[in-house]
Amino acid sequence: MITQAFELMLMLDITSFDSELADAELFQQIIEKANRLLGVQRLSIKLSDPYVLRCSGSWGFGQNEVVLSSENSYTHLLNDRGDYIYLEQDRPIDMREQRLYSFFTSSLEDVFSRRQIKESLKYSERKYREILATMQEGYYEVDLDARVLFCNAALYEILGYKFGELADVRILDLCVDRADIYKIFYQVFQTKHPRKGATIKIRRKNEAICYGEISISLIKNENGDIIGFNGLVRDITERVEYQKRLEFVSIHDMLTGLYNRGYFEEALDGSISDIIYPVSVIIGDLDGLKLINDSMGHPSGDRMLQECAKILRRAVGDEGTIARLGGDEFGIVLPQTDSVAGEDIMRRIRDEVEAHNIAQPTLPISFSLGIASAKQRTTLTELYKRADDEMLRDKLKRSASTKTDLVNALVAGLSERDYISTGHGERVERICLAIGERIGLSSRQLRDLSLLAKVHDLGKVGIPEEILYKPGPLDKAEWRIMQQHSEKGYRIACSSPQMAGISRLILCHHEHWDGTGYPLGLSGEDIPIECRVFTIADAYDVMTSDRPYRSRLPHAEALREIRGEAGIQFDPDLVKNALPVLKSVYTSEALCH
Amino acid sequence: MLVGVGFSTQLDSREAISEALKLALAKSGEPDFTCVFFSGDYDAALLLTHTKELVGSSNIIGASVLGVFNGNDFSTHGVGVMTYHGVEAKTHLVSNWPDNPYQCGLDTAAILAASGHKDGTVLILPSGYQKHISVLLRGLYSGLGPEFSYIGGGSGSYENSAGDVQFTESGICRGGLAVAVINNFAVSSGVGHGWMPCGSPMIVTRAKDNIIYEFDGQPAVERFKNLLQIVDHRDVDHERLRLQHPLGIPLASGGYLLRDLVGFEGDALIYFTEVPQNSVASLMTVSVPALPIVAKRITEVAVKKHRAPAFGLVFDCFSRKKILEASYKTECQNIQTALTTIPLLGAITIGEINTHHNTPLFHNKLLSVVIGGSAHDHASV
Repeated sequence: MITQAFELMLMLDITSFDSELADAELFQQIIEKANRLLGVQRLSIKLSDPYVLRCSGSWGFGQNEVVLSSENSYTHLLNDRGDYIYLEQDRPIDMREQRLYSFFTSSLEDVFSRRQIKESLKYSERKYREILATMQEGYYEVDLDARVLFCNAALYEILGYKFGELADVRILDLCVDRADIYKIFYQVFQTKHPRKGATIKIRRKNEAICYGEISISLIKNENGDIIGFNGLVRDITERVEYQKRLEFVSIHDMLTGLYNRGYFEEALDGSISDIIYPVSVIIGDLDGLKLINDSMGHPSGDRMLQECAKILRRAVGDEGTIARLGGDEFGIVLPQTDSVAGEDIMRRIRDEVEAHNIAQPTLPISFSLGIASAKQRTTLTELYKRADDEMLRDKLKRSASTKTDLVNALVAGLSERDYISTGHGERVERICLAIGERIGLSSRQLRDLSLLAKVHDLGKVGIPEEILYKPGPLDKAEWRIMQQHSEKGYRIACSSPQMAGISRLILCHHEHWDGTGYPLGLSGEDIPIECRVFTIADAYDVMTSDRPYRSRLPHAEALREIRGEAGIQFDPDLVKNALPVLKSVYTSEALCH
Repeated sequence: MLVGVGFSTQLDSREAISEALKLALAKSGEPDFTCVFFSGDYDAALLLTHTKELVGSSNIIGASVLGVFNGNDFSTHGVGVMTYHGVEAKTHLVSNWPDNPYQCGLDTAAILAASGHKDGTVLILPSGYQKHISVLLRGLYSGLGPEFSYIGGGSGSYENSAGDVQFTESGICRGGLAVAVINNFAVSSGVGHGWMPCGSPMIVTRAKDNIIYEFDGQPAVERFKNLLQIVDHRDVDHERLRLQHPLGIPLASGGYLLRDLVGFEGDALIYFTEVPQNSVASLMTVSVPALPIVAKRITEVAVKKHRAPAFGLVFDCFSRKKILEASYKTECQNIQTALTTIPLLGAITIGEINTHHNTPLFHNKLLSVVIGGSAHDHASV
């Protein structure tokens, strides 16, 4: 006989299911309790919810299918999806047993319900962790002291730390602008409103600075008390740096790094009240830039501009704002600078220019400068106009000599570079004059011929050295570049008062009698007589001189070559006159050696 | 059904089995099913071989036990056999104790069910040293169902696992399981142990398999000492105390399923068989001198239940022998007396298997008296 106390004991045992068990173990526990405490001989549980599905099963049906009998059984329906708990014993169920079965199935239902909630929570937690682990944005949770409670992998990566290294670190300690960021967190705490889109500057583990866009929300406990903060951190370093670059580019000249015209004009447009008087404005113009660009190419011109920028920076220092106004023009605004101080700066600029030209004679710089100063109530725009006028006056004064100096510098540079031509110019000049005298050229023509012999290859300053000095034959592309030296030489000569007169001769010194020369393809007597003479003299000297790619030809062979080219490359009449001259030149040289 | 029983204490394995079988076969004739119990000091392989020679095509099941009942007495060294003619049997041997006992039980049931038997008796002889025998029984039952009766006991040996053997006609193993399903084999049982609860029930709040760490949230040993009012901790680990006070967990029938206390480990209690966590348990106690009387009553109940008793199978827990000491002989005699002339084969086992509301349970400290006979005879009387 079962006493009430014993029944209470059974009921206590019935309710003590261990819901932490794995599904298979829980099912075993259900069978064990049902059998031992209730005398159940058959049991079937059907559950459709995926979180508790594996707790389903049947027991005691042998090799037969599960058949739910209506005799000696108790069935508890769990929901309207057909889920149930079925218990069967070997005798009719009395009232006491009915009570126990009801108690047992209710207890089980609780277990399944808790399990569903727990598994569902676990699933949500897993999904949440997966999202946190895979998202690109950093996620953080901190306590009220801003100590890190949790960071996802992305945030560790953004900050350059290894996993776990940020635990318990005060996130504010990583921020460069700690006080500002603290204020934002405090504001969120006070107002209870989350904040989005605040930009913070953070120091990475390797001390590099990065920028983040942070969102801040409150973490609350079950009682609604604020216990911390959480949010996202997006790495916007690239965006910030791009913006900075854009800002830099928008107000700076990319070639020289100085401010650009736009910035300068904005500065000029400033109100009088913003100007710190006395103020001076200096305008500088680089002389001969076009000549350099045309003769030596734009890279050389750019280098010149960059050197100018350096000169101006050294001379001006932090006393003023320097801008490149475009092309070859520079502007300098000098607040708190009167005319005396301004002149001093102008002098410093000229000293720097001179020092540069001594150090780099092959690329001399020449500045035309103008200055205007005011003690009060004069706009910068007005000062700019006055300074610009002064600069133009300076330019006019210096123009001719500037160009001459530049051309001379180019010729000197050419001589230093082109060692092959050393001596070549003098010999060719001698031959040219001898031929010229023989054919009765005028003194002017003879003078031009003499100068042509010296500077005919002036245009080579614009030819790249790897082509100029190439030991082997030039390919097609290289040859085309080399051929450009005639035109370059022509342009340089046009810029020089001394050489302007022979500019056409320089241009045509590679034309051939039969029109196959360059650059114009002139033929016959369209080619200036001086060029026709020069061509023969130049060819003879080239053939009878050693080259890196071949030895000199013997005099007789050179003469044969010239004879052979009469009417092709050379003027046939001039060839007849030149041959005796060449023989004579050869003979006199042979006697000298 | 014809049943024969025989016993021998011959030292030689071959001679022992021959002597025992000779006695049994004289009664049963050529058997269809043979059951052999033997002490662990015999050569099991020789026993099996010679049994096969003598019983022909009979199905065989056998296991080492801690003692064999011999008429009015028992012997810790001996061989006992029971032979049956007029039954159909199918046996199965599980050589290696499974990692998934429940599934093993299901698989074993499927194999036995393939014999075509729809009802009968399942004789189960697992190694008594293995864990989760209860779980295996649940699997076996699930696959066979309530149409069968379940009896058996855990095998063992005084040589411990070295002598622990199970066999069927198909082979022999150690630490495994031998099972037979026998048709035309109706049984009725008398089961009991004689222990009563002492002290208030407790909840097993923390346990793992056969180790209990906490009762009611308190360290298990402390709870144990409090209930028995033990002051000196040294007294805790006293064999008599352990034998006398197993744990009882309630059954639907109003009785208790006992679990033998084996020892202590720190604050934890170690039992012979698993104790389910979150179950309600009571400390049990017994009047030792009453045990043999209880045994007699149990046997009488079993005999009364069966209409046409042809044999008796007894599975008596070794811990009863230990606690009774010299008085165990009285228990054996009481059992034999209550059985009168019914042939008896008894074994002292480590754990006993019997039916509780048609389902098998694994007990400790149980006396299981199974009275069997022809199912046809049992039904028609």
